[in-house]
Amino acid sequence: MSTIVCLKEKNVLVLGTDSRFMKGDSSGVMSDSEQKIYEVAHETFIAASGWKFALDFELAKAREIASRSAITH
Amino acid sequence: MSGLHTYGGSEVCGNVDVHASALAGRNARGELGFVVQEYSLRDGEIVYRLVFEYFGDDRRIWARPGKPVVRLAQEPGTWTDSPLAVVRRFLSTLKAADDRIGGPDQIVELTLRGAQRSQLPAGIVSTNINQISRFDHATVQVGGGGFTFSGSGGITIAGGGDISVSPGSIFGTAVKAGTAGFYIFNTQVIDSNGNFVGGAVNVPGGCGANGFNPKVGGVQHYGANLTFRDLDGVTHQVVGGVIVS
Repeated sequence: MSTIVCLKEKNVLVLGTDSRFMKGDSSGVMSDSEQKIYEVAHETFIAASGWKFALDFELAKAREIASRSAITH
Repeated sequence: MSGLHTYGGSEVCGNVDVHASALAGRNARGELGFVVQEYSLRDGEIVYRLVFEYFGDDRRIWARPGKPVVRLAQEPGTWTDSPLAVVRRFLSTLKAADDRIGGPDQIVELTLRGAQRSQLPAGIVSTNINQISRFDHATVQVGGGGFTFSGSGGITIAGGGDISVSPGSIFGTAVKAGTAGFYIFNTQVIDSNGNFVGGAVNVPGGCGANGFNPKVGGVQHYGANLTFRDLDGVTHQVVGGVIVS
């Protein structure tokens, strides 16, 4: 499961998560030191809650789109 | 039976949240905000939906899972305290409520000054150290070139922790002292097995002109340069020798 918390107010945005990944069958903790927030473009970050393979896919896709579109500042 | 999906290796049905992600940054107009998307199992089908999108000015919070933080949403401080404090409070509450949530917080704060990151695993700590403002609970592992401090702040260890140095060669650790010399207070030499070897200091490269200046029993002694001749008539020269009694 893990978690994501997003807070936005005026010119401040805070994106937070934890560092835990569970084993595939959720029987126990696999790691408490996993990176979960990634910078996909300048000052553009992605955080995920769910499956690591899905995050890996989203991360690769987001970087590909950001690179191709150059829509970030 | 219809409406089953082999999600997770087993045939399941009903409503199951599978995966969610939040993308935070600026839109094409430069407005700060975030977008949340979610994949879930609904009646045997994997469904994608854009859950939440916000680029406005009023304070809005989105959290997953949401149930443990319902009480927090009703507290006035959630809507008045600093954004960073509120997010930390949410993360602490979520960790206490769910065993699948744990480990150090990972937080990115985006403001007009740019991005500030705190308490991230070693892999992320690779950018400008000046932007990392908070390490309250973090363990930082640094590989490669290690830390380099260019400022004048130095290192202060206030919590009583040890400094462990494992030299990579027989030449040990190099300490560059100022003009006042290199002072050693209550130093113990520990070998690689953790055994106390002694308080001695080996100086294979020799000392500077002032030699050793040890304080023994509260009395300060200074090294002396002298020449003497032994019983065989051989002359010896002592540099920095110390006579303590």
